[in-house]
Formats: sequence, structure tokens, C-alpha cells
Amino acid sequence: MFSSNEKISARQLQALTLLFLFGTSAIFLPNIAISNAGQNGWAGVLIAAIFAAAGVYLMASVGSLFRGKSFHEYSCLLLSRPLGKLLCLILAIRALAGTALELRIFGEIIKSVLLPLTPYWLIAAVILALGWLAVYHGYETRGRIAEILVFAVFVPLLILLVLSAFGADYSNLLPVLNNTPERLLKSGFESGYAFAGIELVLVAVSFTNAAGETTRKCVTGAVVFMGILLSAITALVIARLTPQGALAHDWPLLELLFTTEIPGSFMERQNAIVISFWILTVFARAGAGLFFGSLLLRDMAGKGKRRIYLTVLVPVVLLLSLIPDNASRAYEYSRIMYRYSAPALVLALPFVLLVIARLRRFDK
Amino acid sequence: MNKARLEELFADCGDFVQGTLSPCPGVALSLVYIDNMIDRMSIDRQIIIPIMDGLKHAVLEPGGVYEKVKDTIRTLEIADETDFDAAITSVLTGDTAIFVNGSDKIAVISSKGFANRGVPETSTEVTVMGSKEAFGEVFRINTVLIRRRIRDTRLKIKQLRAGRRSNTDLAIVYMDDIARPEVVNEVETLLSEIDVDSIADIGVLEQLIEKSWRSPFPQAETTERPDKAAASILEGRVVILADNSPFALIVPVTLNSLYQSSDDYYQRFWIMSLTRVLRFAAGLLAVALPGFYLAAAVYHPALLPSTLMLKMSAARQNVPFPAVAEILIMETAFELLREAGTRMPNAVGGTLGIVGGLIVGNAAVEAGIVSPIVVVVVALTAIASFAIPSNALVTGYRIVKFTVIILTAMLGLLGFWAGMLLILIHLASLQSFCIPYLFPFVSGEVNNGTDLKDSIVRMPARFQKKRPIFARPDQTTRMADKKE
Repeated sequence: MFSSNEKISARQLQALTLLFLFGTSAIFLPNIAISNAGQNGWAGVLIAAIFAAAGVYLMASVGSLFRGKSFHEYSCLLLSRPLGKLLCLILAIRALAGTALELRIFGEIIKSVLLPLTPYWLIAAVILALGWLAVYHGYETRGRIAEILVFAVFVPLLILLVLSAFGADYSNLLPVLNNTPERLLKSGFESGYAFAGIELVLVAVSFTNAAGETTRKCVTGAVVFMGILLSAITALVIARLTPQGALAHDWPLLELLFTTEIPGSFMERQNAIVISFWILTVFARAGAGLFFGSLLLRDMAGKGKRRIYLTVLVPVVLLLSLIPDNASRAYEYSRIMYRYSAPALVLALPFVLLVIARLRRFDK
Repeated sequence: MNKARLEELFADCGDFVQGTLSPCPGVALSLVYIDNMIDRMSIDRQIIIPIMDGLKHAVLEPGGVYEKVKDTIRTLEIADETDFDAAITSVLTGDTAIFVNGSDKIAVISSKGFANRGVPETSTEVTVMGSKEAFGEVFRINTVLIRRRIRDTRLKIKQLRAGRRSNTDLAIVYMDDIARPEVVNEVETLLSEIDVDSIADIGVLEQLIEKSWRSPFPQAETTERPDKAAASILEGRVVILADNSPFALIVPVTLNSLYQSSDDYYQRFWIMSLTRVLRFAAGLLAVALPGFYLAAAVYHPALLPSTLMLKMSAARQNVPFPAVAEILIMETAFELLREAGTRMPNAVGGTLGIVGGLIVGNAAVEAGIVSPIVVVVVALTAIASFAIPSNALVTGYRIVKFTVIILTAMLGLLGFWAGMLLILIHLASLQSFCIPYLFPFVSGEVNNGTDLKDSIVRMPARFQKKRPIFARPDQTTRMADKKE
């Protein structure tokens, strides 16, 4: 039947991946893509998705070679103990810093849209406390929550996007693909920001009870789906707001959703409801950061209960999120962290791990 | 010896009866029972008259008296008992014990015949169609009500006792070939580990076997309907019965199963699917509506149409309390009304509803204590809670609703979502006998999505060929495939 063994199904891993990817980066993505490739920004997002999907496929492939082993265990096995531990530390820092910056950016958005009089730290503390509680109950609980939230977030969001598609002027997308390949690739690289943090799949795959092939399909499928969705969102933003209009807004996606008319809706303005989708995803993302951060640090230290690490990390992440002066600075830091870490962590690391595993015959 | 011991044990027990029979010289029998717990007629006809007549002229060997007495008694329900304490426990449950002079054995005869309500009509789970029978307080009648519905030797009724003082009869009822053995074993272990003075009702048992006892949500389902209990048994679930309780306990339970009612299966799937959707929506309203109103009215009025917002503001103009206080006042008033209504006799209950709901509500609005919209919100929340079939689930929702209200009052929509997420986290972490509480909405693929056919919508009966997750994996077929 069901056993409390901290294992989740491939479907739950897929739901967790989807929620993780739909963070605040989706709010900024259209601007990133448009500023690099103009009306063809959507293509840049697709390019980013292809690279991210390839990376995730490699991660799932490595993880499935070491079923029953944690990331710490198999990275130590492949790279030697010191290097394995160092890698855990890097991933833990990446997870915690990413969460802190995400929290700061989204906390400031909530503050400006929903709660202008509430201090940022209180908003962040509430989200972190919820993330802590979800993680405290274990990975299985997180998997179940994700299965429910994925519907609560994506079904209304997709309906809103379909409705927004009706009033769009698609001639704004023309001319199609007139950029140079270099520019498109640059747009792809910059748009990859939307997939920042996906390297944590390396750690997550060891929690699935599904076969390697199923896990690979599920996580890669989640990245491909998200790539198509984000590309469609970018295209819609361009079609509705024009490339110049989109760049004039800080959060073009929110602007698009705020102004979409819902037939028969009694709501005057749906800003608060739209923000709710992100409250749910950022909660999931905060949970992911705390979970992987605490797990990797505990494994690295080799002693202590994960729940203690988890509880200690909550104020640490809160304090980290207070370091940037404001949301723009947090966004800048987040972009810098992406630029310097993503190529190495998303593509190179899983590739190297897979090659070493093959060379050392771990696939046999 | 026995006589003195009995007199000592039952000293000052006015309901204890000990009669002596001497049918023939040299034979003395002690008949022991509790007054009014036995059927006097059957004692006369099956025990006293046959013994007095049958042994009148008998010449008995000293060692053969017990056997002769036993042969003379006209009933099949007779047991030899050598354990004095066990015989006394049987007497206390309504049996009659016969002590024969010079014999170690005690004859225990089933003679229960206490006053009872018979088979009552359902009162808390009323349905339009289906049986009107309900469980009563008599344990054996309750097992019969299930046995009548499942005439299969694989229906097992495992009996045990719990309660140091009450010695309450309990039964674990399940299908031997359908129920998961691990669930049956766990139930048996949990029941046998209970060490408490008394099991006054099945509700006590429920609290004692729940693992997450701090949770406001039930981890076992109670029902007064034998048809529901029987249907659950056929799904592979385990039913627990307790003497003196007109309810049965069903385990395992999921949130989904708490939204199901017997009626759902007796009527057409169209209407029952619509009803299910309404029930789930009602569940959401029962938890979220006051909180959402608060978020919209206080923090984010732009959510509402401007005409409604203006009306609400106008209505609230003379109200001296903040919106959260208004909501809390009305919710508390409604909880009082509900509590008072429960204690009132049926005839007065309706009047109380009218007085409380209409007159006091209207007076409160006219006096400017609360605004009309708050009355509407609280009334809608209450109506929604009554649409949910499980009273235990409603109780859970009533409690968590206040958490959502308080968090929303502090943080607006963020607080509202925080409250909803708290509930979701809690429900996601909850399990009932190893089955996730949110199944089949989570991990539905474990049973190939079968349980989803009987969840938010109730698919046609002919589509429900497989048993839900509660059944053993090798016993999933409920309906045979018809060959075209």
C-alpha cells in the first residue's frame, strides 16, 4: 500500500518541478526575452527550455543510476568525498540564496500589490513559516501538496491566458525569427533565468520510487511543458502589449493578467487573485529551498536531524533575503547568480557526473 | 463456596439475582443472573421448568449431575465455563450462569433479554432512498443488521472486549478476502491495547485509536446506517461495533469518503454527481467564505464590483465593530445557536432556529450591531456546512474556519492563503491506516485512478467495476465485465 519512506511518485516529482519553475522569474521573463530578441523573445524562451530539458534529462539519468542513494552519497562515490561534499555545499548555498532572493522579490511584489502597509519581513516570515511546516512533515507531504497546488495554480492561470489570447494583436509578433542566431542564442541564455535552480533535480530524483525511465520522462516533460507555457506567455505579452509596451512595465505578465477580462466575472479587478497563484508557487519554492538546503547540509555534516537544520535555516534565509536594498537589487543579484552558476550546474555538472559514472561502470 | 463468593462479589448489588433449585434430593443448583438483563420467559421455559420436571425423579451419580443438568436445559446456546471470573462477566452481559454443587464447571446460558429500542430509524443520516434502518444500542442486533446485508461466510465478526470496568463488547467486522490484512491486524492491535475504565460510546474508541489525535479532522468515519457499513465492508474497509453505541466506526477513511453518502449510489449518477460537486463546493465555502469576505471587504475591496462595494460600505457605516469582530460575533452566535439546538427537544429546535436565526439576526442588523452582508456570509457558511454528510468533518471545518478568519484579519489575502495552505499541509500530512487522507486527489495513480470515479463526480455504477484503494490488491474487481 503506502509506506512512509520519504519517497514520492514520478507524478509528484513532476508537480513539484512545475511549481518550482513557475516562480517569480516567470513575471520578469517576458522583459528579459524581449530586451534580447525583440518580438522573437518567445523563441529565446524555447531555446532556454531545450537546454534546461537536456540538463534535466542528464540529471535524471545520473540519479537513476544510483537508486536508493542520496545525492551526497553518489556524488562522493563519483567525485571523491571532499569534492562530493563541496558540491553539496555549493548546491545548498545555491538553493538557500536562490530562495532568499526569490522571497525578497516576491515579498516586495506582494507588499506593493496586496499589503502596502505591511513590513516586508513579516510577509517573508509567513511564507517561510509555511514552507518550513510543509518540509517538516517530510518529502511525501510536499509531493502531495504539489499534486493539489499544481491544479489550483495552473488551471485558472491557463484559463486566464486563453482569455487574454482573444484580444491580442498577433501582428506584433511579426516579422518572425528575423534575429541573428547569436542574438537568439543570447536571448536563450538570458531567458534560461526562468529555469534557474533546476539543478536541484539532481538531489530530488533520489526521492522517487519510480523507475529511471519514468522519472526522466516526468521531469523532462515538466521542463518542456513549462518551456512551452513560458514561451506562449512571452508571445502573448508581446501580442497584447507590443514589445515596447511590455518593456515599459516592470512586470508585463502581471499587467497582462490584471487587465484580462473574464466574461461573467463579478470581480472589478483581479490583481489580488492573480497574485494568489504566485503566493502558492513561492510557498512551494520556499519549501524546496529549505528542504534541499537542510538535506544537503545535514548530509554534508553527517550528523544531526534534518528538522533541526531546517529550523535553523528559516531565520538564515530570512536574514539573507534582507541583504539586498530592494527588489530590484535582489533581482540583479539573482541574475548574476544565474549567469555565473547555471551553465556549470545545469549542463556541465550532470554531464560530467554521467560521464564519470559511465567510465567507472556504475551503469552496469 | 461459590455461593459465598458470589454474595461477596455482588454485595449491595440490588439487581443481582441468585436462585436455588433443588429438583431432586442431593442436587442443588444456583441460578445466577442480573435482573431485567435476561429474558424471564426463556429462563422459565428453557431452564427452570425442564430442570424441575426432568430431574424430579432422577437418580444421579455424584459426578454426573452437571452433565445431566446441561442435557436437560432446552437451548443450544450453552457453554461450559471453568473460569469463575469469565462466568461472572457473562452474567454481567445478560447471560445466566448455573452453578452445580460439587462441580467445577459452570453452565453459561445465553439469555439476554433487556429492554431496547429494537431497530430504530435513521435520524442523523437521513436519505431520500434506501433503507431507513439504523444501528441501535444492542450490539448483537447491530451485527445482525450487517449480516443480513452480506450473507457470505467470508464476512468475519471478530469479537473482543475493552474497558476494564465496562467490559464492553466490541466487534471487528470485515470481509476476510477483501480487507487488507495489515489494516485488520492494526485495528485488532489498537483495540486490544486499549486500557481504560470504560468505552461509553464508539466516539471514545475513535479517539483512542486515532494516530494523529491532535488533528481536528476525523481519521475514522462514523455511521448509523447498516447499509453504509455493509457497503464499506464490501469495499475492503473494516467496521468496528461497540455495545451500547448506535454508531459504527469505519476505517480507513479519506477526505473523499467523508463526502460520500449512501444516497449517492441509490439515485441516478447525473443528479448525484451534481450533488457531489455541490458538496465539495460547500466544503470549500464552509472553510473559506468568512475569511474571503474579510479579505475582500477590509483589504482588497477592489476585488468586488463597485456597486456591491458601495452597498457594503453603506451597510457597515453605522456598525461600531471592525469587520473581523462582526464576523466573529456572528460566528459565535451561530455556534451558540447550533449548540442550543442540539440540546433542545426536536419540537423546540425549529422554534429556536426561527428565534435565533431570523428574529435575533434581524434585530442585530436593525440595531446596527452587525451588517446584513455579514449575516448573509455567516448564514451561507452555515448552510454550506450542513450540506456535508459527515458531521465529524463539519466539526473539523468549523474549527479551522476560525484559523482562516484570524489569519485573514491580520494579513488580508496573504493570510487567507496562509490559512488555506496550513489546512492543506495538515491534510496532506494526515493518514488513516497508512492511506493518505487526500487520496485519490493525491497519489491517485496507485489504484490506477479507480477512486477518482467516485470522488468529485460519481460515475455511473457500471463504470465502477473496481473496488477502491481499501481493498486488497488481488481483490479489486467489484463488477464482472459483461461480454458483448
